[in-house]
Amino acid sequence: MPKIDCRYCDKELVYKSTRDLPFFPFCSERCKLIDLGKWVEEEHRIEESFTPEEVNETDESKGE
Amino acid sequence: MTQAERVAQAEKYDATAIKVLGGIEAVRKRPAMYIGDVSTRGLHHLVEEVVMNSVDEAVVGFCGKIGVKIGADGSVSVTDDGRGIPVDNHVETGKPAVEVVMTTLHAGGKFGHDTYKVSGGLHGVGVSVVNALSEWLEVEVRRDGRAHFQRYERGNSTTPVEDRGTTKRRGTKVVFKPDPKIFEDLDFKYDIIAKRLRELAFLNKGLEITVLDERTGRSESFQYQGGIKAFIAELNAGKDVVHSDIIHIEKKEGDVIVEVAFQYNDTYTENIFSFVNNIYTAEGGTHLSGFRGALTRTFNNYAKNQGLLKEGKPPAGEDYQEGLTAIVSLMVPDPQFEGQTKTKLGNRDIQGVVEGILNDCLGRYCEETPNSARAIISKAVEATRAREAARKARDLSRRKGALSSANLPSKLADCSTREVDISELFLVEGISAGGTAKQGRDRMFQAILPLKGVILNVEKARVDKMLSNEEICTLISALGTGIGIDDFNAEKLRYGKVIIMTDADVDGAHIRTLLLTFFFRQMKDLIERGNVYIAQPPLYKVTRRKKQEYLYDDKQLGGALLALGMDGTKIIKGGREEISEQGFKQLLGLLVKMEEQAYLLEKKGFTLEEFLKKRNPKDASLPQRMVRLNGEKRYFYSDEEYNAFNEELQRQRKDVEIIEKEVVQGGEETNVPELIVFHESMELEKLLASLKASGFSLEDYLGVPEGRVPGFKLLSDGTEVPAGALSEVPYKLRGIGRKGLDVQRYKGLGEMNAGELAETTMSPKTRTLLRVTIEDAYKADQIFTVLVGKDVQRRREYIERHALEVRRLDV
Repeated sequence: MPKIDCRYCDKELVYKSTRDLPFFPFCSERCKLIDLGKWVEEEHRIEESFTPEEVNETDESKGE
Repeated sequence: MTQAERVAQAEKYDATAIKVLGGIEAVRKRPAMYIGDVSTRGLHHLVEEVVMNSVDEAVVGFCGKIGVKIGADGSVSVTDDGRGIPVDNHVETGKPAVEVVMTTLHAGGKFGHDTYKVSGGLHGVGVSVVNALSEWLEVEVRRDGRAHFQRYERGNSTTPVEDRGTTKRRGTKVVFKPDPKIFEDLDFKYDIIAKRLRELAFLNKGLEITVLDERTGRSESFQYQGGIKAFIAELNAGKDVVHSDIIHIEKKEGDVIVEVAFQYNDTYTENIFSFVNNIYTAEGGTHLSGFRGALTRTFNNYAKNQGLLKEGKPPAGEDYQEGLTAIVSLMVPDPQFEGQTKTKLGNRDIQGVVEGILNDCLGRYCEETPNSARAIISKAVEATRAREAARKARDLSRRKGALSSANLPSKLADCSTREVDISELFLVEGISAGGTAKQGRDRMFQAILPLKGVILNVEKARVDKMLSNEEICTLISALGTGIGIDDFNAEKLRYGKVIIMTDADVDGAHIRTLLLTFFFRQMKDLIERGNVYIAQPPLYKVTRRKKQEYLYDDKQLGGALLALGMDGTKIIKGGREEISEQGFKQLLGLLVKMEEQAYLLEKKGFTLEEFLKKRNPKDASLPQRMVRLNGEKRYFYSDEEYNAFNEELQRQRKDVEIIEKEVVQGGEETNVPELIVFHESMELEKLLASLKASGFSLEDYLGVPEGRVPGFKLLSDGTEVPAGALSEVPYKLRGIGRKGLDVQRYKGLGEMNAGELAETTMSPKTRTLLRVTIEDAYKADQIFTVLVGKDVQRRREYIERHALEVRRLDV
C-alpha cells in the first residue's frame, strides 16, 4: 500500500488508490484548505541562497 | 454539610416539604409535552427521571449507591440507599406523602428549596410522569426502620401504602413497566442506559452506580473517585495530549457550585460536555459561554503579558476550542432551561459567576504551570494561523465572479475553438516568451497564458520564488475548474491539455516545481486524468551550411557531432593500414560504449587506465568491488572473495558495517570500511573482448608511452588529425564534426523566434510532450517541500545531491 505524509500536518496516510482519500494528498479538509490559503497568501516560497561569489556575480550583471 | 445539619435536614424532609402543584391526567393525553417524545428517547427518559431522584439524594450526601436493573419482563427497577420518600400524611391532601409524590404532577421535595438546593430530572415534572406513563409501578420505601409499599397502575394507586414490617436498611426502590399503549418501542437499550449511568458516576465523585440487564446477564458497576477529572482522562485516552496535566477547578459561590476539568489533545476537534444539576445541557447555555469566555480571556491575557503573541490577531474563542476536551458541571438552585429541547441553561447571572471563578483560578494556573499554559497558547496561535489561511482559501473559492471562465483574465490569449479535447493551454514562463508563443501558436486550438513567477529579494544572499496571488487567480480562471473543496471540478477544465513551458534553467525548474506542486495538492484530478504536460524545448540549435537541427539534450548533441565527424572521414592505423568504412563504424560503436563506461568510472574516482591495471593477474578479470580501510584499497574479483573478507572482518571487529559509497573520497584514513561496487566491469570485459576480436589490442585503445609514433590518424577533407590511441577517437571526431558548425545553446525560450518555438516545442507535428503522472507530481512536491523547508541541513543535502542535475541545467 502506498503511503504519503499529509502535505500540511505530516500525518502518515495509507491508501490503495488516491480516491480512498477524499482530500488527497491531505488528511483532512482543514489541512487542504490551509494549504490553499498559503498559496493565496503567497506563503509558499522556494528559497534560494547564494554563495558570496554568486552575490558578486549578480551585482556585476546588474551593473551591465 | 455537617452531620448535624444533615440530621436536621433529614428530619425536616417530611410531608410538610411536599407541595401539590397540579393534576396528572394531562400527561397520558399529551406525553410528548412531558418527556419529549414516545420513541426510544422518551422511553429512556423514564429511567433517567427515576434515577435522577436517587442522584439528587446523592448530591446532598445521603445516598452512596444506586442500582438499576433492566427486568426480563420489560420493567426497570431503580434502588438507592438514600433517606427514602416520606410516608407520613401530607397536610394539604391528607394522603401519604409518597402517594402524593407518585400521583401528583409537580409534586416532590425538589419543588421547594429547603430539601434539595438543586435537583435534576426532567424539567421538574417529577416521577409522577413516569408513573402516569407506566402500565404499573411499585414503590418500596425503607425509612425509620420500617418498610412501606404501594402499587399503581397508569398513575393511580391500586393499593394503599402498606406497612411491610421492620427493616434495618434505608432507601427507595421504584419498579415500573412502561405502558405499551403509550410507547411505540418498549425495548430498553442497555448501552444507552449504561452510558448515562456512567456519566452520572463521573459527575458525582464516589457515587457507585450498578447496572444489570436481566435479559442478558450483562452487568457493570461505575464508581470514580477522580470524578470529572477521570472522565477527561478517559475521553483523551489514546490521544496525544498537548500538556500532561488535567486542569481541574471546583469552587462554590453562593448556592452555585462550579466544577470544570479540561485538557487539550493534538486533534482539531472539540469534545465538550456541559451539565447542570447532572442534566446534560446539549444546547449549552450561560455556563458554557462563561467557561469559553474565561478560557479565551485568561490565556490571551497571560500570552500578552508573557509576550507570546508576536504578530497577527490574538487567538479567538474558536481557536481555543481546537483539541479541547472539557467537562463543565454546575449545581444551580433554579435552573432555567430554554431552547428547542430544553437543554440550554438560561440563567443570566450564571455566566458571570462561572467567568469570575475561572478567571481567578485559571490565571493562577497559568502562573503556576507555565509550561502547560504555553503549550495551550501555542496550539491556539497555530489554530489562528490555520483559520486565517483557511478563510482566505474559502474567500478565493467563493469569488466565483473573479474566478469563473465568464471573466477570463486579460493576460490569456485564448484559442478560438470550444472543443475541449483538441484544445491546449500553454503556461509560459515569462512575458516575452509568452509573446513569442502567441505569435507561434495555432490560434485555432492553442491558448497562451504567460506566468512570470515572482522573485523577491529577501536578503542580499537570498531570493524567494513564488506564484503570486494574482497569477494563481489568473490560472484558476483560465482553467475554468474553480478551486477549493466543493468548488473544484475537473470536468469543467476548458482545455484538453495544460502544457507547462519553462526555460531550461534553475528559475524555470522552480516555476515548474511550483506549478506541479500546486496541481498535485489542489487539482490532483487534472493530473490523474492526464491533462497536465511538460513541454520539451530544445537545448541546442545546430546550423551547418544554413541547415538547422534542434537537439534536446547533451547526448543528442554528442551523437550528432559524431555523425557529422564520421561523414567522409577515414581512419588509418599505424601510419598505413586503412580500416574499411564498415569496420570503422563498428569500431566507433565500441569506442562510444567504452567512453560511457570510462565516464562512469571517472565519477567514482578512477581513470579507465588506472582501473584496467587492477585486472586480476590470474585470469585478467576486472574487479567487481573495492574496499578501502585505513587508507588501504583491496580489490575483489568475485562474490566469494568479498564474502570471505567480510566474514573475517566481522570476526575481528564486532558490529563493523561496510558502508557503500558512490565515490572514493580522497584524504583522511578512516577505520570505517568503505565499499565501491563496479557495475561497469562486466560491460567493460565484454567490450574489451569485442575490441580484441576486431583486431585491436589494449595498447591500441589506451595508447603507448610517448616518443613512439602516434597509433592512428584521421583523414578528413584532406586534413590529417592524429590520434594517439583509440580512446581519443570519439573526441577527435566530434571536433571534426564541429568544424563549420554553429552550435547555439538556448538559455531560455525567449532566444527562439516564433517559428522556431512553434516548430520545436509547440506544434503537435514536431514537438515532444511529457505527460505528468501523479508520481512525477509527487516528486515535484517532495522537491518543493525540501526547498521551502526550514530544515537547512536537509535542504543543503538535497541541493548537493542534485547539484549535478541543476548544474547541467545551468550551463
